[in-house]
Amino acid sequence: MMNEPEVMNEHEKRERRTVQLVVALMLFVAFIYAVTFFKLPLWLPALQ
Amino acid sequence: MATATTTAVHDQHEHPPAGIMRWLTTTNHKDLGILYMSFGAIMFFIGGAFIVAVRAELLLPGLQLLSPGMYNQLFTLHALIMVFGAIMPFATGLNNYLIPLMIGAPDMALPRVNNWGFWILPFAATLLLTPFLLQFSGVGSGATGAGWIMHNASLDLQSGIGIDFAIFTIHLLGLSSITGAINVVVTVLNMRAPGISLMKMPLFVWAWLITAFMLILAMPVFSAAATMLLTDRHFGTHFFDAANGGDPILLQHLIWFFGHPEVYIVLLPAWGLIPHILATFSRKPVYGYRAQVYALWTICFLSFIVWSHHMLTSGLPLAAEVYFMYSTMAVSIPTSVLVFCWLGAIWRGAMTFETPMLFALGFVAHFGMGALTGLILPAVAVNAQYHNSYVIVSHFHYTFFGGGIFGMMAAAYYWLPKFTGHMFDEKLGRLHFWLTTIFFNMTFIPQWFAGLDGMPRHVADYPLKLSAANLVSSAGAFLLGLAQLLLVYIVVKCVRGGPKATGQVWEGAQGLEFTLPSPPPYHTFETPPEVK
Amino acid sequence: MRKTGKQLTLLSGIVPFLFASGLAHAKSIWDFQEPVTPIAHDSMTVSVDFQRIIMVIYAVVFAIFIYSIFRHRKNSGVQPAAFTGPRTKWQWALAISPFLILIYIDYVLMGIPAFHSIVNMEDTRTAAEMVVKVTASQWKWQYEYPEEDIRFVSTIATTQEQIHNKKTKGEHYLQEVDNPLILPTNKKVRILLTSTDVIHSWWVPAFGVKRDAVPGYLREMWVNIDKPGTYRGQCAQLCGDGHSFMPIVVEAIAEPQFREWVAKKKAEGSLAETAAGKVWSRNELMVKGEEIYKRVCIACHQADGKGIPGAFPALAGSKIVNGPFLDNDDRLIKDGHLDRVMNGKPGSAMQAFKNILSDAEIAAVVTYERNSFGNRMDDMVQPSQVKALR
Repeated sequence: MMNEPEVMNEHEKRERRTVQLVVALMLFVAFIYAVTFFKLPLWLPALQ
Repeated sequence: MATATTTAVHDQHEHPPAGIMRWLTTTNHKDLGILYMSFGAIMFFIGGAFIVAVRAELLLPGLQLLSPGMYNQLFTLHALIMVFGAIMPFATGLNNYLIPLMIGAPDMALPRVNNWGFWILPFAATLLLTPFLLQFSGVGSGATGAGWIMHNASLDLQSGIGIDFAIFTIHLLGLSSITGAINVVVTVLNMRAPGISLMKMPLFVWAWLITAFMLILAMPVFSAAATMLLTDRHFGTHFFDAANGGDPILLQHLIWFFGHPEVYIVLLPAWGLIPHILATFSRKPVYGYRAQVYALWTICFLSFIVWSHHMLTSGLPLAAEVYFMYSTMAVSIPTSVLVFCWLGAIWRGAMTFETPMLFALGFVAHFGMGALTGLILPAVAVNAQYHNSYVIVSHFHYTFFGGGIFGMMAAAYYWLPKFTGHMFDEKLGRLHFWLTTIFFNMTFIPQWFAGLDGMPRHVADYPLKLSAANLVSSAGAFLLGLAQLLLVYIVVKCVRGGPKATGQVWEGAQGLEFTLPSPPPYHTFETPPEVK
Repeated sequence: MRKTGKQLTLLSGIVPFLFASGLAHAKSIWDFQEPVTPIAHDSMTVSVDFQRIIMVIYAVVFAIFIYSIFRHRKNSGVQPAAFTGPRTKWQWALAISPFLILIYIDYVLMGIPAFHSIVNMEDTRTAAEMVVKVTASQWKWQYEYPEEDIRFVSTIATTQEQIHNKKTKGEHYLQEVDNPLILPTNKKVRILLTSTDVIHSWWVPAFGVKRDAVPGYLREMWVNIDKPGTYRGQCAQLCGDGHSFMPIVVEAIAEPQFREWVAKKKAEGSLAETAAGKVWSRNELMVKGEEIYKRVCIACHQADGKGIPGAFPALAGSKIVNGPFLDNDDRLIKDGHLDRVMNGKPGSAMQAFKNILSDAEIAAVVTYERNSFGNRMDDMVQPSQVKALR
């Protein structure tokens, strides 16, 4: 069994990882949205 | 597999508030799971009612009940509601309830976001249905009638307010799905109990992790396409407007870049849970675990590079047609790995045939037909005959209903005793399965032949030679709809009472969720279980 | 004994039927409509073969499933096995072989002929002997023979009464038109497609071709019909309220008859020229106008001229219809009645009818609209005026 400070540490680490992951995923969503809006109309007509 | 050594912590002040406030403010993954699943079930019946009206119009040649405009609205709403309102929320409900239990986490990683993600849905559904209801009091021209995938850009541009409401609905649904998906990714990657490595996770968790990645990549494209349509309609841009130098086919590319992964987003949760059920009732471990994980990832990857096989008649250049034909054929290989593993799962088992097992086997039989009919479709020259005909309608209902809905039904029956603590009426469950199977086939087999004989999709009326096929199909659809009322009765009866379910529920059931009592306490795994 | 006898009778009844249908090449439910072009023949062979292949695959896989379901049951006392994957070499071979077969079917058995079919289908230009241009609009097809300078519109001939079950439906209910497309047999015809409003799709199952008509783009395909006859199809892309009522009828006739038809059609064209020159009486315009209205305008503006609220504006009592259409210098008034009919309203379903109707037809229908549905303008438009305004 882990003692108290180590548990806290583990908890904080997990929380930090969660925040980092969420921010990364949200940036990714924004990136895809922007590429679709601004770039795909220029790239896709090449498929015509 | 995993065994747990924990019991729920009962903490008086952590009990939920009573009454309606419990459901409005809850951040508990089990409560939200129940809410998601109930919402999905309600929408399943609304979407079903719409299609019963459509089939009633198609019962006989000629227009009897609906105007063509109303007809277009009904099948469009049916599709939007079934895909985004019924199957996806139900699958999300399952992940909410089960993923924390399966990986030994106390809750989802982002519980408040979870609450928000759910409560967007009723508003989105209301927004979608508002113009439909408004038209009866003479306001506006009704809901969108441009098809669920709205890919006739120039038709969307000239339609009434319905399409604007649909665009905002899509934005709300996108918000809900993306937040839900981020929640799943973070939960699965960050909240697993010690000892559950990635390759020890149950397949359902794997399938949902992959689904979540697909949502995160595909949904923003759909939202962006909807935004572009909105700016084209109201803010003077010309993305899709041919008269001003835009490209109507661009919308088809964007929509199908989302739309094809969407098909697998609907199916992957079912593919993930079927092995659990087959293994349980065969009393055997899951067959080909690694092969299935790799196959699911391969399907995820392939789904993003085959989208234009939905537009093979739109006049793509030769090279693109050849590419999309061969890439689409590749999808059959990982899919058949899954089918092979399902067969491996039951082979030399000691099978019993409770309702969830029947639905799982029904899933395999019907989805197999949907997948095999999909094998013919990519051949471009022949696709010209199948595309936008009833052949397609039949094919994708074998995957969406035969796959998606049968899978969700199997899951519902499998975990219902776990959720409620009561066993359901097994006899009625089996009756429900057989009625669903018979009437489902009665509905969709004639459509295949009507399509071969040249019946296009989306038509409110048809030539006389197609009367027989449509009559049988409509009769099948009515009976299929009626048979689903049995499901309501079974579920309500099960929630109210019944024989007590044990923690393991089913004799062969494995997994962390079955180490808990049925129903599981409000808070579970507040200290992580020890998994061997 | 009696039971066997009964079964034998039944069998002896079925067997000749199977042979007969095989010999007569009767259309089975697995077939498309009877193919009459090279592409359609090819597609149907592939389709029928493939349905056989998937039926065999399905039968084999599900025979194994059914076998397992009946053999490996708990109540027959089976002890469950514990394997989680293939273990021996033999089992690995067994596990891999289905995928090799599948890859063979996908990329060799089906993939190679499919590639040649695509190349053949997309080769619209080689040895093409004739061009037809198809322009789709909501909800009619315009056919044009550029080399012959012939142009006409084809709309549904089934009446609203038949659709609403007030009159009996004919044999070709919903698949009949006023002016069918006439094509010669045994000639490679290149078909160009475009649209004036939304995306439509031209599909005649017997020809094995379906291609979208996209506004702003020219798509193409080809047919070479090997048998004279009447072939029916319809629009296959959801294109609005009239999507179900946009049939295509093609009459394929031998080359000499086709030449005769072209000559006749050209004579009609010059007749229309003279019609535009003569002065029409109000009555003549009203009769002709009613005919055109029922053919072209009724789908949106309805029989009573009241339109469909929210979707299509009413003509009865409309400000545009009951307003002036020419200014003092005999020029079109922008957004006046005649301007709307000739030039349409951009961004709406109202299209520019000057591309579709003749001078006399436009003059007649505008006159009719101004003096029907309770509108009493008591004026008329002469074909010569329309001609001058083009």
